[in-house]
Parts: sequence; C-alpha cells; structure tokens
Amino acid sequence: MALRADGKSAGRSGVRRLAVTAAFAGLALALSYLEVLLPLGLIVPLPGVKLGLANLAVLLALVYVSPGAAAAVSLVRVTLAALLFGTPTSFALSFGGAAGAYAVMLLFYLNRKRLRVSFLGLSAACAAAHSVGQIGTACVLFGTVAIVRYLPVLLLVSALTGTLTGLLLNLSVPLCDRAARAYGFGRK
Amino acid sequence: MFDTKFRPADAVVLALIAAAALALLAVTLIPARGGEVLITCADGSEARYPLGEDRTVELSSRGITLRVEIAAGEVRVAQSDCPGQDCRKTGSIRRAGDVIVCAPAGVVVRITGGQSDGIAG
Repeated sequence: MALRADGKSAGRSGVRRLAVTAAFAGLALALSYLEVLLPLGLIVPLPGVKLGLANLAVLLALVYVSPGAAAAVSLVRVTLAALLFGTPTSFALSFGGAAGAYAVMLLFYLNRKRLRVSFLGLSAACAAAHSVGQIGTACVLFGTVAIVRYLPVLLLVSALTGTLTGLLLNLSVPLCDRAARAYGFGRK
Repeated sequence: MFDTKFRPADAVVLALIAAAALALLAVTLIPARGGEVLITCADGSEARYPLGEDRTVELSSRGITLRVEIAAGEVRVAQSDCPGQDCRKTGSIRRAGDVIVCAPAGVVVRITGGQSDGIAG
C-alpha cells in the first residue's frame, strides 16, 4: 500500500489525510444514494425526512481526520448528491441542514471533554440541528415561517434516526480503530 | 474523545430534543376557526380561498401542475407532477398554520386565520 504511513513525513501525512478524506466523501455519497433508494417517505411523508446515514461518514472524518475534513466531506456530499440526484431546491435545503449539523458537531467536538457524550448523543444532536437548519432554509426559500409546523415531527424523527446512526457509529468505530491502526493513524 | 458506549449525557441530549419537539407541537396544535387557504407559487403570486367552501384549484409552477382540493374544512394536494410526491403524501391539513410544501414546484399551501395566525406568520 503506497499510502501506508510511517508517521514521520509531513508530506506523506498530508497525502494520507487527503486520501482518507476522499474515501469518507465517497462513502458519504454512496450512503446518500442508498437513502434515495430507501422509501422512508412512505412511513413519514414529510419533505426532508431521511435516515441521515451520510452523517456517519462526516462524523468518521471528524474523529479520524479533522473538523476541516468533516466540513469538506459534508460539502462534497451535498454538492455531488444535488448534481447527481437532486434539484437546486434540494441542494439549498441539504446545504442548510448540513450547515446546521456541522455547527452543532463542531460545538460538541470543541467541548467533547466537558460534555462526555457518546457517538449516539453526538449523532442525535447533529440530526436535530440538521432538521432545524433545513426548516430555517425552507422558511427563507419559501418566504414563510409557516413551515416551522414541520419542525416538531422532524425533530422527533431526527432523534430516532440520529440514535440509529449513533448506534451504527458506536458499533463501527472500534472496527475502524483497528483498520486505522494498520495504516498508522487513529482517532483525534 | 467521544465514547462508543451509551453515556448519561446521551439521554440528556435525546430528552432535550424530545422536549423541544413536544413544546413546539403543543404551540402549533391550536385549532383553526374560519380560516383561509393561502396558496403561494414560486413566482410570488398568491391566491386565497375560504376553507369552508369546497373547491378544486389547478395551478402550475416551475412547469409542475398541482391540483389542490378544499373539501369539508380540509385541504390536500390531490395530484402533482413533481418527482418526490411529498406534497401529495403529506395528506390533508385542517388547522391554522398547517402547511403543505411542494419543494420542486416552489408551492406552499397554508391555512391562515384562526387563533394561531401569529405563528403561521
């Protein structure tokens, strides 16, 4: 493996970070596509209701690379998902949601020693912030605050979906730790 | 670093989200009285109809045609050409402030009037 790190070369370390970030961006896009195929709208027929699986890749980029990498993964995911299977409106709504989720993610990351939450709490908070960001963007886009009516249901759904994503993270992070150690890096 | 095992703080986060959702829900669940149906299109045009009078409204926005039905004090999008069909799947709305959004068409169907006009904006 050409990118196997020795942990000494700053240049090689930069390439490794770039490669890992790109891999997480690819994972985020694949999970976004998977969500398009899942008929969650049949159960909760509201615009914007999603499992939020792509957030899993963003959170992994946060803990294995950096907050900047997480922002890059989120931005690449939102942009490519809109280009491949979205619309300008869905891009704006996704961007608003992703920005909200990222703001809360950063807040939790910077205060992680004080807050002492697991990935479950982090993921649920991000999912709720995603809903708030999305509804805020929709209010601006459609010029009415009436859309806030969707928020209670979206918040309850996001608590469930965020918990699900968090449980997946709690299960997958130990496996990722093992894989990461093989390539000479670990959680930040 | 974040833990991979459930922590008490996780329960606090989930409880705060649920409390915020329930508080918002309580504020928005106020019944309508003598409301109106306000339909706003992507180009900014608006139309108002009494909620108490049954009628069907056909409209076109961003090349998408929608059929909005007002019947028995309820409003629903009966038919839409939009790709996601979220507006149709939202079903009927009946309270002031309730809203149906068709994001691809840029159409918002809203019930105004009644006691909760303030939050409806």
